[in-house]
Amino acid sequence: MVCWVEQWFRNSDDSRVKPEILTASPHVRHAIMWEWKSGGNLDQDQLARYLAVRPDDVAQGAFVEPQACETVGPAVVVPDGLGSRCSGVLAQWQMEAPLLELSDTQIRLSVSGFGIPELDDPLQQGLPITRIPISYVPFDREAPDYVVVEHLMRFVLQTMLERRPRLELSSMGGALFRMWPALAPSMRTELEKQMEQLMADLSANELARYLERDKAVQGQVTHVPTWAIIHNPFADPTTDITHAARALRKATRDAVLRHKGGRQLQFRELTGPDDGSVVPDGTPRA
Amino acid sequence: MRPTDRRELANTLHDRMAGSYEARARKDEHDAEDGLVKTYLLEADPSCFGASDDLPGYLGSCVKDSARPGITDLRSEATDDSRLLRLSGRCHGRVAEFHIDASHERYWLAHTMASSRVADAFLKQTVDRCRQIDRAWLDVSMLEWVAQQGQFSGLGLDFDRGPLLSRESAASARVDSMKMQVWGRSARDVMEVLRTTGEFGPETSLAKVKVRYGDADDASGFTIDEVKYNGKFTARGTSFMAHADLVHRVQRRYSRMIEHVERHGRLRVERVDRGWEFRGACITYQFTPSCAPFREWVGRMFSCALPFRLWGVPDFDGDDFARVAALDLHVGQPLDFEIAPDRIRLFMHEASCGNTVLRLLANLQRTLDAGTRADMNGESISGVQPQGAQPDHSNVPR
Repeated sequence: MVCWVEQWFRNSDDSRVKPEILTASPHVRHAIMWEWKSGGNLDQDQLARYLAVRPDDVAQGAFVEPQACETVGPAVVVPDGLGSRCSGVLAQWQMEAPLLELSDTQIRLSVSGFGIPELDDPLQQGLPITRIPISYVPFDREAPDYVVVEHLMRFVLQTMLERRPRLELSSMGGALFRMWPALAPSMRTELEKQMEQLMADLSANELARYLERDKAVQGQVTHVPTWAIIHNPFADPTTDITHAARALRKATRDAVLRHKGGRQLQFRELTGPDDGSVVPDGTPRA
Repeated sequence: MRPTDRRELANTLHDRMAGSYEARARKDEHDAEDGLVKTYLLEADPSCFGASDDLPGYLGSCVKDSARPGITDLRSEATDDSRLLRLSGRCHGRVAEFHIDASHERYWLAHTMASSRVADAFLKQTVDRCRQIDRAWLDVSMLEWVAQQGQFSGLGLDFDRGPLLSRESAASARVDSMKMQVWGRSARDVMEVLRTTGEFGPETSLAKVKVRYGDADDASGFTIDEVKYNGKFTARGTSFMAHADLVHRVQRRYSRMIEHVERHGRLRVERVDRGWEFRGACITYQFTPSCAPFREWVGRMFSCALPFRLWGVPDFDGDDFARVAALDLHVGQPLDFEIAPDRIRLFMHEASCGNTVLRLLANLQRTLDAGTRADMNGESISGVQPQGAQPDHSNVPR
């Protein structure tokens, strides 16, 4: 089971470790600190800190049940085909850690193992990953703004279709991230800050006729950033839903283009009244 | 006299169906559709209707909200039966009246004797645009299952690239659209020839089957039903009970398919002990890469239009991958997509509607590739054999 996403704690050497995901299993009594690497960015110091983590560090620092972390270790996930090359790097550093290769369809143990048959056997065969979409964590702090914008715009449309009168920042995280409670508190705070900034930006631009920062709520002692829906086309019985949804789609496309443009990329728009997609002109996606 | 409960409705429709069949047999007007019983299998969003005490009032307001110009005198009325509603109105001046059997909370049956032209147009201008109601979407394997339940006597093919291609691209496609009706027992052979020659495989999309169905214990009662991919049943014959039985069996099988998709497909994170576990699975649609330009058909799929009813701005990565944070305009719930030229991965959210999964499958089979299949956890979602839904050959008429 997943215990945390990007939550830090200290190892036995008093150094900070911050695994991308921390999982622990009461069944096999082992905790795993997961790191995703592109291959070239293996970090010797980081791995040394992971290898110095003891079960007590996880139980106390990350609040994991002691029975679920009687043993602990890292796992490094690299792109498909890079397992043996990365293993050579680890050997040079005289370090050993399970290396897993990730393809479009599965995750497979490439080199070394956990020393636990319940984990090693299925992972050596390869586990399908069709249950792990990006939507569990649709974006992180490093995500470009336009990716966040896509998800915020969808949330705005969903709220309008439900004919709710306002959007609250405090409910956005839970709606956008299925694993919101598992995210480290610091990560949640930063993501909320990013979402608040972008909501302010959108409500001043593409969503100006739809949203307004709720001033009545701003004056309260407990300040929860809130946006009032000042124009909801879906609340009007005479509105053509398809037409109204397309207007929001155009606003989304404009906002995405604007935020991509801000990153000095050139884009072209596909033609056709039904085609609101945006395509980078030969520029690799960030 | 208008029926006031479902039993009376069944009797009325039975009498009209039998009378109409005999009259037609005398006049040899077998192919005219006026006056035939039509039943549309609909899916009502349970989150909207489940808690409503005033079902007719709620249905009326939903349909009225979504009705387009051309629809007038729209009325939704209660009957003595709390699960039977009457929906009526004029479509471009012509009267359409439906009796809606809502005895199943989620899958409703809309019965009418109006002509196909009027009934189809009425539903298109009302229900098809209503957020709370959708059609049931029968994919190719479901239609093939229906064909096995009685004496198979014909089929219709219907393929149209229109919804996914611009007019210019469609004009340059090898086959832009294909429509064909074949009645008679050899109809299946014709379809197999088209499918297996390789020339027209992707376009040979089964959209309608005709089956003679009746209770083997009552040789006098039978129905010849045409069952269409969009959940429409058109019945000729002498027994409304036989027609209703076939409809109920499809309704039951369909509801179990949706239930299966929703129970196992909805992705969620569940709290366990002191952590979280992933639940659910993605739905993978696999198809032959289309002759259509990738960016064009993907863009149009999320253009909010019928039949897909999906909102989203595709984020392309090169010419062969797109990711879409989409919204299903039927229930207003998010869905995530990863799309390649030969497959689509759909990730349902916790409140996503299983009907959308079937709607996408049935419509990909009609607009992209007739051979599209949808898998979940390595098994075909339409191959699910719901409990008690084995082919029942006792219903084949003697």
